[in-house]
Formats: sequence, structure tokens, C-alpha cells
Amino acid sequence: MGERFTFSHKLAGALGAVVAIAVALAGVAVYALRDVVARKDEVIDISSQRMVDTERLSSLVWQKVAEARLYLLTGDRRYLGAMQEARDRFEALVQTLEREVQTEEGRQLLKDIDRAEEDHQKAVDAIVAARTPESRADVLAQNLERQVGPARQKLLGLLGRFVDREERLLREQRAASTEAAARAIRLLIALTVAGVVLAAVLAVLLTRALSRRISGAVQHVQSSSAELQASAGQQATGAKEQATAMAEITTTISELLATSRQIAESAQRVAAVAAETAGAARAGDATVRMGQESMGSIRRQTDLIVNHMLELGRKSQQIGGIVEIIDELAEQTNILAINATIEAAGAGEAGRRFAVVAEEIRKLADRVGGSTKDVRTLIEEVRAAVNTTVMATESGSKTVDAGARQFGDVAASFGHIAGLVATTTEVAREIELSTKQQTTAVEQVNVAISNVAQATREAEASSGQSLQTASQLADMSRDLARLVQPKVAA
Amino acid sequence: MSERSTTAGARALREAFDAAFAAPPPAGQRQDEVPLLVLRAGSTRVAVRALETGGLLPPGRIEPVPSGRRELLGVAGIRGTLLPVYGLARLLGVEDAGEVPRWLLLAGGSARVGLAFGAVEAYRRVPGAALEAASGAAGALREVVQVEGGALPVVSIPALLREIGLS
Repeated sequence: MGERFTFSHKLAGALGAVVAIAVALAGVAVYALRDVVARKDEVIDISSQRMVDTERLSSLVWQKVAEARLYLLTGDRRYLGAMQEARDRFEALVQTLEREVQTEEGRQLLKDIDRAEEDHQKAVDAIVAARTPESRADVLAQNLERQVGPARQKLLGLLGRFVDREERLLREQRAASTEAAARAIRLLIALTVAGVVLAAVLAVLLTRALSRRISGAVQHVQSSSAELQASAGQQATGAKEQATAMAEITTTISELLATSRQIAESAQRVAAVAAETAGAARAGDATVRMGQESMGSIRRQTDLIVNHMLELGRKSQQIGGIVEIIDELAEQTNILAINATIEAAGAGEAGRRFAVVAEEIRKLADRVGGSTKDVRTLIEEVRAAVNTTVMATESGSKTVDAGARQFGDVAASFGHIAGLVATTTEVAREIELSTKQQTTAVEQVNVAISNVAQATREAEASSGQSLQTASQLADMSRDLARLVQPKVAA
Repeated sequence: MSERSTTAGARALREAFDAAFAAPPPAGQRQDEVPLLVLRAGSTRVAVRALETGGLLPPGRIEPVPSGRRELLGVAGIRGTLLPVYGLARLLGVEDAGEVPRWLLLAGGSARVGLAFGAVEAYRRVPGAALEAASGAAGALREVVQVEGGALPVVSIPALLREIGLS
């Protein structure tokens, strides 16, 4: 079947076809019934009526005769009126029958009946006219019989023939109507069978198509519901995870807020400490400057000392020079004294006193040498002391220089510290400001997070609902499948 | 010597000087006192009897002369006379390591020679008992004397002169 048509179209089409068949059946049945009914009606109503009418004609004839007889008997004109009335009714009936009769034979018969009735009536009228009040009833009756009787008999015969004809027609019509009914029944049966077959075929086709489509749809629905369940489950899981993550984020944000506050406090403390440090640096700077001044004075003193020491060293060097001269003189004197001793020894006795003097001179020279040795030692000690002092003062001077440099370094450090402190204070203020901003931002984030958490909870709820819906969908699809195939499990 | 001894020493010197004139001249030179010259020749220190020499002089200029004797350093003009100069260290058989002779001992009586050496270290008058005969003495080094700083060999000038074939 064309896929353009939806199942409802197809179902409508099939049902329409079935309905059409049913309608056709019904139409045919109705037509047949109507035909049968018509025929039967005709049979029942018309033909029977005609039969009845025809029979009534007979009775009217007899009534007429009876009325005539009564008039003849009684002379009451009422009976004539009744007879006329009966005749009128007869005429009316004949006219009615003439209208109804359809065959030529019938019409002819009716014409004959009419003529016969007229004849009869003439005869009756004749008799009636011949009545006198003195007439004897039995004579009249005999006359009536004698004159009217044949007309009556002819009329009745004609009526009888009409009745037979009518009976025959009735029978024929009944048979025909029965045959028609049988035909109609056969047609109806055939149509019914055809309709049943068609309906069965349609039903089978429709059922198959329906079950196919339903199975396919059911599978789709089942897979979709499974997917939906899975996605709803995932959504629920994801919503749970998101909720957990939101909770963690909220916790983290609270910690962040606390940390921000701590940072702000620390920044404030830092600024305070920086201010203290700046004050201390300034005080230290003043101290350093004082120290530098005293260092300068020490340096000047040290330089004086060094100069004095160097002067001392030079003088001692000069002394050393002189002492060397004296030493040289003493040595030369010694040598000369030795030579004098030797000469004196060579001079014998006469040189004895000279030897003594020479010896004295030599002793003197020795003493001088000893003294110069002492002096030299002293000079060495002085020079050593001078060196030591100079070195000490130099080292002291170096120390002073180092101290001055250190003071300079310290002053520079203090300056540096002051700069750092200023920077630190600035930075601390910036930190405080930025932590305030951060706190604001974090609080905004907090609000956003709680909104998101709310949305997550709603999403979780809705996903739970989706899950439920998916389960319902799965159940419904199972029911649907069972509609189509009872054996089909979920 | 402390500061005290220098100033005190000057006064003591003066007093000793003055006292020397006041004292009578010694009866005779104490015969047991031997005047010694402590010399350094080359790498050794030796002692020499001062009276065995004719004088202690600076050598002046020693003009080297070609000679078969290694000990002969050359000739020098001393008091207007040309004297041969021998190296004392070389005569003693000691390495003098090319030291410049700073002093000269006159020796040899009439045939004067000069014995050059490096330095005069001291002049001592020691008692004669301090001179001992050295064991294993050989040549000019026959005696040993105890002075501060240890024992010193005493060079006998005449023995030394005889070794070099003079007088």
C-alpha cells in the first residue's frame, strides 16, 4: 500500500470499503427488501386489497340485491338509498380497481364487470320501478330472481373471474416476490461473502501493516524510550554530579571568601608593618648619618695618627742611619784597637801601656757596639711598633672605611627599605582593593552558583520526571506491542 | 736592653771610663789571657790568636795574578807594599763560595802575606786554659776553644804559613 497514506487513511479506507460494502449490502438489502416489501405490499396491500375489493364488489352486489329485495319487500325508500349507496360504492370500487389494474385483461374484465353491473342494475331498476305498494313480495322476489338473477350471475361470474384472476395474479406476484426475495437473498449472501472476504483480506492486510508499522513504531518507541531512559539517567547523573560540583564550588567559594578576607586583613597588617618599618628606617637613617659623621672624625683622627706614625718611622730610620754610622765607627775603632794591641804586643814592654790604652779603646768600641745594638734593637722595636701601629691604624682605617662603606650600605639599605616599604604599602593597598573587588566578585559568583545549583536541582527533578516518563513510555510501547502480537515481550 | 739600662749605661760608661784612668796600669798583661779573633772564613767560623798576626786590615783591592796555587787570590797594596793575598777559607780547605774578602790578616813576620777572609765576628780575650788541644787535629787546626756559641777550631797561623811553604 502506498506509504503516502497514513494508517488512519488506510484504516479509514478499509473501513470505508467495508462500510461501502456494508452500505452496498444494506442498499442492496434495502432495495431488495423494499422490492420484496413492495411486492409483498403489492401482494398484501394491493393485490389483497384488490382481492378484498373484488370480494367486496361481490358483497356489494349481494348488498345491492339485498337492499333491492328489502325495498321490494318493504317499499321503504331508504333501502333504495342504501342500494344506491351500495352501487355508488361499487362504482367507486370499480374505478379504484380500474386505476389499479395494470393488465389489459384486467381492464377488459373490469369493463365487462362494469357493463355487467350496469345490466344488473338495469335489471334491478326495472324490478324496482315495477314495484308497487301492492305488489307481492314473493312475486317480486321471484321476478327479481328471474330477471336479475342471470345478470347477477353474470356479474358474479365476472367478478369471480376477476377474483380468480386476482388470485392468480396474487399468487404470481407472491411467487415473483418470493423469487425476488430469494434473488435478493442470494445477492445479499454473495455480497455478504464478498464483503466478508474483502473485509477479511483488508483486515489481514491492515493487521499485517498495522502490526508491522506498530512493531516498527514500537521498536522505535522502545529504543527511543531506552535512549530517553539512558539520557534521562545520564541527565540525572549529570545533574547529581553537577549538584555535587556545585556544592564543592560553593564550599570552595566560601573558602575563597574566607581566604580573601584573610588576605585583606593580612594586607592591612602588612601596611601597618610597612609603616612601622618606614619609621624605623627613618630612625635608622638618622643613626647612620650620626655614625657616618663619627666615622669621618675617626678617619680624620686615624689619618693624623698615621701621619704621626709615618713621621716617627722616618725619624727612626734617620736614627738608624746615624746608629749605623756609629756602628761603623765602633767597628773601625775596634779594628784599630786590635791592630794597636797587635802592634803593642810587637813593641814588647814599651808597648804595654799602649796595649792597655788600646784595650780600653777596644772595650769602649765594644760598649759602643753593644749600645748601638741596643739602639738598633730599640729602633727595630720602634719601627716594628710604628709598623704595627700604622698597620693597625691602616687596618683600623680600613675598618673605618669598611665601616663607613657599611654605613653607606646601611644608609642605602635604609633608603632601599624605605622605597620597598612605600612600594609594599602601595601594594598592600592594591591588594586590599583587589581583595575587596574579589570579594564582591566572589559573592556575585556565589549568587550565580546558588542559582545554578537551583537550576541543577530543577534539572535533576525534571530528569527524574523524564525517567519516569521514559519508563511509562517503555511500558506503553510494550502494551502496544502486545496489542499487535501477544507473544511480543518487552 | 731596657730603656733604663741605656740611660743608666751612659752614666756607667762614663764612670767606668773615668775609673780606668784612676786605676793603676795592670802589672802586666795577664799572661793567661789570650786575645782571640773569631773569624768567619767561607762557611766556617774559626778563631785565630791575634798576636800571631801582624794586623787586621781591610784588604783594599786584590789584584788577581795567575798562579798555580788556587789559594792565592792575588796581590794587594798594603801600606805601600805589595803583598800576596791568600784566601783563608781555601787554605783551610773550606769552600768559600766566592765570598768577597772583607778583612785581611797580616801574617808571616818579614815575609808578609795576607790572609783574606769574610768577616770578623768578635775579639775575645780568653784564658789560656780555654784553649784545648783538639783530638784528631790536623794541619793548622790543632786547638779548640770554647766560646759562647760553642767550640771553635783555632787556626795556628805559623802552621798555616808552613803549610803554604812560607817561612
